[in-house]
Amino acid sequence: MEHMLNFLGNTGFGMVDYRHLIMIAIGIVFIYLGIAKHYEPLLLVPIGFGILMGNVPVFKGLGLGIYEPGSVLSYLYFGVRQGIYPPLIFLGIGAMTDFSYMLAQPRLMLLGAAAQLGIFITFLAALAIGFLPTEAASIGIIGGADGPTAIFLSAKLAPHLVGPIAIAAYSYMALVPVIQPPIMYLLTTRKERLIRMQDPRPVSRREKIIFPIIGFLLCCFLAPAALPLLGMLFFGNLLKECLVADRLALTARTALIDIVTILLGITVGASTQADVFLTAKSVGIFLLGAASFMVATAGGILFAKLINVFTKNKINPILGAAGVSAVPDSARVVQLIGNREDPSNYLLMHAMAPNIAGVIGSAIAAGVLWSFMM
Amino acid sequence: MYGLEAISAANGWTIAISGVSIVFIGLLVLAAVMANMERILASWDRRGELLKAFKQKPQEKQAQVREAPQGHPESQTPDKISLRLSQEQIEVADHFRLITKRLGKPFPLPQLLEKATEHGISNPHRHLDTFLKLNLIVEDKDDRRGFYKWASDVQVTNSKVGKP
Amino acid sequence: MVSTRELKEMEFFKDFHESELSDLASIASHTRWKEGETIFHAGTPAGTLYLLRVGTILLCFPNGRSMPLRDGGHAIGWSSLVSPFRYTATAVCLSEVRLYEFSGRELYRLIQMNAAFGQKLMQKIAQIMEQRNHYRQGTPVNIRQE
Repeated sequence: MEHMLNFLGNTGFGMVDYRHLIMIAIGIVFIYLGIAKHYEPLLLVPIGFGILMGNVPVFKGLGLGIYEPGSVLSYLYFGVRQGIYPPLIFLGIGAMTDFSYMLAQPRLMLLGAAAQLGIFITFLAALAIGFLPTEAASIGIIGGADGPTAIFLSAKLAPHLVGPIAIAAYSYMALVPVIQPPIMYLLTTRKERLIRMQDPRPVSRREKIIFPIIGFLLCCFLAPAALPLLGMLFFGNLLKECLVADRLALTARTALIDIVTILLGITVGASTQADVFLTAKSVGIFLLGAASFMVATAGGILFAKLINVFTKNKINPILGAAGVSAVPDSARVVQLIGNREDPSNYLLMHAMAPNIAGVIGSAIAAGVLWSFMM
Repeated sequence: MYGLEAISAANGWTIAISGVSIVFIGLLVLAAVMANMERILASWDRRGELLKAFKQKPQEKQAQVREAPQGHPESQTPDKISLRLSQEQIEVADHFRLITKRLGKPFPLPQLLEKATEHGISNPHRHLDTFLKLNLIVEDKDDRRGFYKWASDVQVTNSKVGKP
Repeated sequence: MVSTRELKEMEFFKDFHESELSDLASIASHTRWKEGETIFHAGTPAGTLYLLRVGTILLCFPNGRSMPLRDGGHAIGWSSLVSPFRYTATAVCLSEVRLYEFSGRELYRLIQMNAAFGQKLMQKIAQIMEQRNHYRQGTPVNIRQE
């Protein structure tokens, strides 16, 4: 009888408390959103299930939990803790992205830069409300709308906040079609939204090969701490564009990125435990994350309007919203808003330019913040 | 510590301004380099060409003379085109005419199909496809495009009997 | 499995390179519909672009207008790529129909990977939208009752 009671006491049923149940409910909601609503399913399903795995009550000392050395989850989480998975995802992103949208219209890259204002303004706001500098930097990077970058930086600077920051980042990325349009309407006039862009010029193969090399050298000389992310991004792109390493590029953008996404998602989810997630800090992270996206959107749009003051060849300012580097969702939102005003105005190709530049910009911002915090 | 004090204590202003500047400078320089890359590469190509003995063959663009399409000799269009349909098709066409009388002129095809299905006509979609192919039902013109009418220059005959 | 050769025969893809057709073939699938079936309804979320291979489809617009599409590589479901991202017409099969099916998500992935391809595809979509604009936007006409 005593053994039976001991056994029952060591099961999940015996050790569960209300916080586990809340987290399990959150995990189920994420899985539901991914499967039924198709909100970023490739991320929400692994993260959701990871939350379930991380919040099953287990007896500490058995080497089961993600934070227990020697456990399987701990070994898999190593890639997050040490910042290995995000650069590998960037390798895949580089291998699947055509940068010629950006190369054909280099001035639109500045909109990607302007959108990163959201990161630094949120950083200041986080400091102001009492977060530590390392935490504030990790929270600010949510505004870069780049999941791997957010996970990379928070793993380096505030590993205890990786879970809520990752969940906030991916949640808001999925909500880009909800967050951005009101800001776009607020900050632009109908006349501005009707601006048509010139057709982009064709970009030669040589330019597409030279760009990742030059881009890598320029960006990493300026912000060396961005080396892991940008190095992999540009390397992946070079593999794609050089045409002599097609097999490697194909592996990077298919099998490799999928494997890493699975491991990243499940371990980030599992690391999101009740004692970290169900706190006032998480509420602050979610609020600041939302603000970060909004400021980033506004930053890109306002900068486009500023450029228009000085140039004859006007930019449609809603392209600035695509500087928020949720690729390609924010570009699609720009297309949607532009189409609503003028069904024959196709902005998608133009919006991809700041969208991709935003990926580079957020990686540089992450490198800068990391180097300041070192 | 909260508010502006907290920001100053953590060198927040310096970090933010430096950070924004570095991101901007990075992308600005990259944009400037790539904006001029096409020109730089073109100059590089030209320099290579000047060093060698180079003969350039002018590319002759053969003007493509488009021949006017062979005009089909004008055939005398009869006043009425005769269409041979099976008995089943004739019956369906008659039923369709009844429906379109109520729908008006010109009539919308989706409603025709809906009514035809309600009335139990078999394979209304296939029959409609046939009538459209044979130009028994034709699209109206100008701002009425997308609505349809019965062709006025078609006479339907029974393929077996040969009588309308 | 759809082959590159099959796609090459389609008028819609005549300007596309071999490598682009190969990418398209990798995401394409065959689909078959019977006479009378509805492929999609107007107003529903658009997730798939279709290319007609064989058969006749009637595109029915909410304003009462309709247009038949017969064989020859006509594309339907372009709303999977452009706003409003909801089908603007109902597609009804007037005969047995065979289509190539392309997932909107996968097409976006190809667009992200290849700008020239994206440009070509969007231009084709633009042409289609232009051709069908009258049917989509036209106001209902006064119908004379006979």
